[in-house]
Amino acid sequence: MVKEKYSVEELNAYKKRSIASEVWRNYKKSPSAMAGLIVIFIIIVVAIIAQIVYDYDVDIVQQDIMNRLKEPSSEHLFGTDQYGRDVLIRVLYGAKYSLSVGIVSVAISCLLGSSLGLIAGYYGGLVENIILRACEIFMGIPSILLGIAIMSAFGQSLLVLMFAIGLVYVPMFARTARAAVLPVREQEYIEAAKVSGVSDLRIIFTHVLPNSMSPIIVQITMGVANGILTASSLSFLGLGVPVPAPEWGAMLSSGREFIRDYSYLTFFPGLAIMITVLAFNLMGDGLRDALDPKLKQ
Amino acid sequence: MIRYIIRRFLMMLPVLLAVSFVVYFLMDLAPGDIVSMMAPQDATEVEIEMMREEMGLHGSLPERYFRYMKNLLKGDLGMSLSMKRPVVDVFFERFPATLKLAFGSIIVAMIISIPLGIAAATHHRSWLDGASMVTAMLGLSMPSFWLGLLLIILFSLKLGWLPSGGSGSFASIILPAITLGAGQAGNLTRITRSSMLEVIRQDYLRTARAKGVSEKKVIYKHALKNALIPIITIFGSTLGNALGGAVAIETVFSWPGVGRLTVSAINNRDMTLATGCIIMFTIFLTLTMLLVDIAYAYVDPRIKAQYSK
Amino acid sequence: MKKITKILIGLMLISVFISGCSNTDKDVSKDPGQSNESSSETSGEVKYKKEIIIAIADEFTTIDPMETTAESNQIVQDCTHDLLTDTNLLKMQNEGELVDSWEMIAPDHWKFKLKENVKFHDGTILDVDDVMFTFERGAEKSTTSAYVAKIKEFIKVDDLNFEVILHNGDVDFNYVFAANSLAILSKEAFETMPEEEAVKIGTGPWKFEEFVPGDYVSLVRFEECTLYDVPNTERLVFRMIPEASSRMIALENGEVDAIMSPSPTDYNRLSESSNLKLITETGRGQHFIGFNCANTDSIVSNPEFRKAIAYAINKEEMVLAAWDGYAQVSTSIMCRDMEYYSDIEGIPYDPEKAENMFKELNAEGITLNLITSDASHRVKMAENFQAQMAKYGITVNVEFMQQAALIERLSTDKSTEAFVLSWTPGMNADYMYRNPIHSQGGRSFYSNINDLEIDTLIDAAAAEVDTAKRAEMYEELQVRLTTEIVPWVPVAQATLTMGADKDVTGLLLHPGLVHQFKTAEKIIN
Repeated sequence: MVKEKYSVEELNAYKKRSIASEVWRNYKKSPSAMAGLIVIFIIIVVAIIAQIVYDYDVDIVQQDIMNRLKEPSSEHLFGTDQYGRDVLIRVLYGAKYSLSVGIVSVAISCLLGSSLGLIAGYYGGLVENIILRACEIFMGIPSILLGIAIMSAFGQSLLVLMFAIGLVYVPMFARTARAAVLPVREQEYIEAAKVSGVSDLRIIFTHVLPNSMSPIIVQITMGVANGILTASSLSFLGLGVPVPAPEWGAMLSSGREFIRDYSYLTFFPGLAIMITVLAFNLMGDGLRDALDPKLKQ
Repeated sequence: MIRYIIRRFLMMLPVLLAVSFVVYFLMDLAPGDIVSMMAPQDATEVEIEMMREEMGLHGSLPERYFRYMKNLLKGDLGMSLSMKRPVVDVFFERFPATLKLAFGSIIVAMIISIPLGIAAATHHRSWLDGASMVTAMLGLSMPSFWLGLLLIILFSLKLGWLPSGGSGSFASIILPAITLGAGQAGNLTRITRSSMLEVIRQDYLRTARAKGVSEKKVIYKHALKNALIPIITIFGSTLGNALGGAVAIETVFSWPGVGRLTVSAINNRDMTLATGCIIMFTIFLTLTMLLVDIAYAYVDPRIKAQYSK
Repeated sequence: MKKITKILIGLMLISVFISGCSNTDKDVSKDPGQSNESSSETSGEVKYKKEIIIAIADEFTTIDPMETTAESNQIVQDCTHDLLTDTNLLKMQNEGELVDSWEMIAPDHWKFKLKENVKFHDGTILDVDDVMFTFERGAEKSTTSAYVAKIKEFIKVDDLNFEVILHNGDVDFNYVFAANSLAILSKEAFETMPEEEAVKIGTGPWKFEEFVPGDYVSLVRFEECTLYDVPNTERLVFRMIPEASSRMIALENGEVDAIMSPSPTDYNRLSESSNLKLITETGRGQHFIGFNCANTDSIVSNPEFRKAIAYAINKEEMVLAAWDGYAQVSTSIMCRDMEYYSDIEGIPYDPEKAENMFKELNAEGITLNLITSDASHRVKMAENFQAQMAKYGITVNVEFMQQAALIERLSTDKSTEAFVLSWTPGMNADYMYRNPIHSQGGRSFYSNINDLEIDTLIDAAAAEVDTAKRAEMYEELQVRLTTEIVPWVPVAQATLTMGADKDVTGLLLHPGLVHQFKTAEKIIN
């Protein structure tokens, strides 16, 4: 049976579904993008299972000095570190930290940055100018140095690290969001909504945001990758997540003095970072292609 | 165009003041100050207060910042608290090394990414496309210092081909430039690829193909030329990345750049040096962006027309 | 295409121009490492390498001895400038360097005689005026004013003899002149040259040559040096390599001849290698877990709890974790190689006793907050302490921060409970106690003991002229602090190390980390 009349809501919903499925169809075409997605899924599952299986106070904190620096073997697949702790367990458990640093910091920069960008793009004029100038100020400071300054000011902890990285990337989101809003701003349906007295907030959320989503989505996936890498750089410079938390960057950094004789100490966390970041980058790239109408064939 | 440039220059001033405030404020918020680091272990409270006065660190935050800003407006970045020399001198001693590394890395990035980008675009959606992109992104996905350490082990320790650090000879720039360049190649490849894709589908290329011009010639003579334009825009941001993001690489390769200088200034709570270095970074980045804009207008007449409006 | 190429080339030229401009007065042709294989012939058949390159970890910033007290600067300054008295690193005792002899007329009245015919790099001869000038300059510098302020009156007897009258008697006054920042400068140089040139003029066997910030500083030998034998090496280069692993690789590659502070993981590689060596010396730095004894809100103010922790810690294990075993476990608060150290038993590792004590104190299940800096060995000590305490059911929360932040927290935050720190005293015994223990001692006073009896004992020992009585007092201090008061649990004195090419000689480790390279040379076979 075919329904004859559709309400506007249903039509909208259908449109949304069709856009999503269109994007998904496009996305599926790229094997590298699919590989990225699958890897991310696996990492998230591993991170969750590790939280359930391992006990922080026993498997992560406790040391076994007598069994330190044992090469990878059947007993310890990834070997043991300088305190005799199992590297495999730490890498698995550490997925939580790296993922959460990446995701939470992006959430912060996306929320702050996109709202600023939407406001700037939607209202234009003085508001836009002020927001853009402020972005310029923060973009003028090299991101890693700004991160270091923030970490120095507020101390070393997981939370500060997330905020530092999040704040650093706010201007990027603001600019992306604003650029995405600009073409939408001039559209007739926005004018129509304004005339019919719909509140600005409602217009932004129901009309502007959905139509400028795609560059922001791409920026989010790339942002997670960037966040994880920035965190590892900060750890290397001694400003990352404090030990004994097995964040991958911190593991890399504490293992680097052993890189000559016990390279597995840095190899596995380095590999973990690389695979995760690569997966997010591939996914971002796939999304970019899938969302970009110009490249559709 | 000239009016536009002048306006950009004037706009730099408030930006610089704001940057100086943000950094100065952050540095002030950081617990501990340089005096407690530098004073001998048996110094008394009075002596420590004396040192603070000597370094101009006395008074409340607004007082101190106001003093600093007054000098800044006169173009004086002050003296480094830890080195007792003008910040500008200290900065420019180290800046050439940073620039060299930045440009070296951009050259490396171009060598890697332009062929990869072309290969990916001309074989769009084939396995070669995927393989090129994954290769390009591999460099982008590795923690740079990790890659640097691995390269040192391979090329300077195992093979003995290149020095492990320092900045004395030409050979010593190769490894750090590769490490930094590999990270930037990812973005550059992506841009080359997408701008190539856009250009390839344009009508005039179809015409050229139809006229029987060989595919190779089409790509290299016509497509590449136009595809390279967006690369200029990324030049600015890549340079910025190379300048500020090279701290870890400078550390691994003992490269005497400004990034390392700034980080140690922050760690030692050398307010004037840290703030001064970041201000200089900002000036340089803004200038580069401006230069890129001008260059862009120069190659693309459409944009030039916009400015003269 | 052409336009784009032009622009790219243009951008690059601009950068080259900028780098060229700021580099004009510094010719980099004297690159360290280029004359690696060349050698100079000196005495008979023995050939010496022309140039010795030493990799240092921290940045060298200035040749002016009064500007900073950073070891990375003092190591270089030690080669170019000399002190009135200095520690003889072979005998481990204070001796005259520029001073020929001295005499204590009274604890507050000292007489010194300079060595004859000591030449500065500018050719002038050292006399009492140079010493006076140095002190006058030092009175205004924050690194030296405290030392100069001890002197009430400076009397020039003749060109080589002078006397000083002190505000307070000090039987160890000769040690004051061993402070590196009090290196003697040339008065004439300051009168004839600009200050930044004049500070380079010293009496040491090495002359300042060139400094490329962030990269290296180079010295050339001073042919007319009378104080020391003229070195067989022609040029001494200090290269700054911040990463320990990079330093090690540079040494293995032959890019440098010696490296400072190798990573403990490389100790074995150095000592087992056929062409490298590990140079070691017992260090004087006492690494400890300290407590804020004045924090009455916390269990750490209870000396029984502090004692229990001392019983609970397996120091051997901590030494393995933090220094790969290269450290000497401490039994006393006092550092081993100091004067008046006596080998007391201290508090041994006794887990059962510790467990009982914790039980009596109801300490199981409590949480202890510990702060420390992000220095590698402190991080490792704290992490190991955390793991060890977990076995007794005590959770240790560790907070890491930068050194500057740590000092700030320790001196201002009254809620501090425990911390990981180290203390490297000078040679004389008073130094060991006055700063960290005495309630009027200084700012290293983070344990906040406030024990008047101890204060009196420290003061009495410092003023005691009879050495036997003095020894007794210092032993009493040692025992009471280590086993009764326990402001810190001393863990270990880390071994000082340096890595070097096997044929390099003349490298001396300094317990205060100002290692000596004055006589560094390398014989080429």
